[in-house]
Amino acid sequence: MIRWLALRAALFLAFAFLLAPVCIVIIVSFNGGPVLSFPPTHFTTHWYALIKPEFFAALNVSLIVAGATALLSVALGLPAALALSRGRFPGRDGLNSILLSPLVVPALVTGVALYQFSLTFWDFTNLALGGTLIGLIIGHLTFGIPFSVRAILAGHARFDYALEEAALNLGATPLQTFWRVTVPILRPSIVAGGIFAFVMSLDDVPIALFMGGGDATTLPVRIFTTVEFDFGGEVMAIAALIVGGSVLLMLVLDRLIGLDCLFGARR
Amino acid sequence: MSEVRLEKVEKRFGEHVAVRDIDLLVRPGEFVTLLGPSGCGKTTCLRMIAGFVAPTRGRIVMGGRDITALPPYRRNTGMVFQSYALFPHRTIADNVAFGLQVRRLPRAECDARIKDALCLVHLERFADRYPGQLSGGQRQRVALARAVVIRPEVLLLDEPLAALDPKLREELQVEIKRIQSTLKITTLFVTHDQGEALSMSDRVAVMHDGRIVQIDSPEVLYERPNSRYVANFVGRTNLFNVVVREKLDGGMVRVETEGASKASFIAAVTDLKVDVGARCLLGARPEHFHFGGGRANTIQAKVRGATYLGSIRYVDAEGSEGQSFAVQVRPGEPTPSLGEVVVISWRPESCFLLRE
Repeated sequence: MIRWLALRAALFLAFAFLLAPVCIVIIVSFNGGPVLSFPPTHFTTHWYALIKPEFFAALNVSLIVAGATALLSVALGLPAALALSRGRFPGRDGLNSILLSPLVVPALVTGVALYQFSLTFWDFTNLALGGTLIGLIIGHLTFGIPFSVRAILAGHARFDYALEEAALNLGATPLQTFWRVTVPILRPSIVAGGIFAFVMSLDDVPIALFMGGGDATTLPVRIFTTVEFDFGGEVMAIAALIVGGSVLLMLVLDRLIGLDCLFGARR
Repeated sequence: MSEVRLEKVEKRFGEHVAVRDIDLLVRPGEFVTLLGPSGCGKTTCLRMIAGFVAPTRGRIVMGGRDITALPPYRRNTGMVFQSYALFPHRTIADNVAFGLQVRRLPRAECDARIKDALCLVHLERFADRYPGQLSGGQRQRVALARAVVIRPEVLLLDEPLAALDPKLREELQVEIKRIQSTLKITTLFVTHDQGEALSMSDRVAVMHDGRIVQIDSPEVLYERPNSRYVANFVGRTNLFNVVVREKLDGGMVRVETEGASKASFIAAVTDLKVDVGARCLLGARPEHFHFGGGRANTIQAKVRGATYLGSIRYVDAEGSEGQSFAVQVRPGEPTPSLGEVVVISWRPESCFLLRE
């Protein structure tokens, strides 16, 4: 009984530790005083009304980049994961490590390298990557693809090949088998990989700092540069909106596919 | 109803030869079982017919058409897997529908055929469930329905009962046999369980080391096995090393044991050509042995132990030359006690001669 209570208390403390900063951001965003303070002096919503349109433009950029990153990560990650888990070719283990390596390199280093790459690319082709959505998406794919490959490989580890054989036996061509059996069975891990890539893209600052700028400024970068000059209620209001959006996204995903299924807690 | 023929089929995996030079004919509507221990090549044979494994040499002919080079999805075989292999993301009805959908059959015909197939396996009430909600036996019946609904030329069953518990296994044996004879579908069944093989098949092919050692009806296989391997693999057999001494009238021969006692037996010879002086094995099943004299062949033995299996009791006895053999005790007969010396006798017709 006592042990059970202690476990409960530990669980509660852990959640409190994780959620307290988030809660404080939301509470402070409704603070009516002239300076940031906690607890709030009086209630207002005018920080929300004050959010500048450039933040919404940045949010738009972030969502487009994150969406494209998620889709492309999955589209490129699925064939890569299938090749890595099923293929028998020389250098397979090496390729496996290479696909994992962007996760090991600090994002800042990747960002610098991408910046250098975009300059060289400009020199040779006169095409700009830096400061464009394409450049940002390419930058985010450096971690989006490894994430989706990992997720799909994990889901594929318990794949029953007899299912594909059954489909072929029933007259489905290899292509039909892929779309009607392989992809649906791997769908939870494909979706998980896509969501990981989406969230990581939305969260990224270092790479977006180097590859973005101008019309291709993401929301985190916009917040980051704003906070340097003006750390006020407006930023808190944006942060609170992001928290709200994330919670909403999680609720929708839980409804649609089940989060425990997504994170491998249940088959 | 089509016939399936393997002609001189061989399969090598690198150095390893899985299937050697197999000739097999499964007649239209026939139920043939490939029986053997794991690694004997029986599953490889089945997978070559399904098209998942390409033979190294030889031809596979189905319904008069050479299918050796066809991919699995052009062969029209219906396969049932040991692991069921039901699509977990589709309902039972959708699982059964899969083969019809990829064939682009009209909706109405699809629905009718799915209904018939589910009725055939008594699962029409489960059409909207998912495979995860069904028991092992029910899943395997869905797999069976999914395989037969496409009206395959041949039904291929790859140890479909191995994952089920014994009671359910017996039920499904009856079920599979009933469906097979209702649809009169050519069937090739793979198992390592001799009981399944004997109870379900029209003919059984016993495989050993990539070869078919004997292919016969269950009765012939059991009563006239053609080798020590088959005699031991299918049921229990008592074997004596003997030398043929004399040919008698009525297809009988007199044989003598090789040991010091020179016990003499009479055996019926059916298809085996034996010469006087040839060394052979004399085989007889435990149930052909009787306690007490009164039959042409008798032997004295000492009781070494007894095995009780519910419906059957065996006594393990030891002959004067140290040969050990099993005798089945008949219902109502007392089990002789340990150490007792008993006389055992059997009739010449109920034993068989094997080449060594």
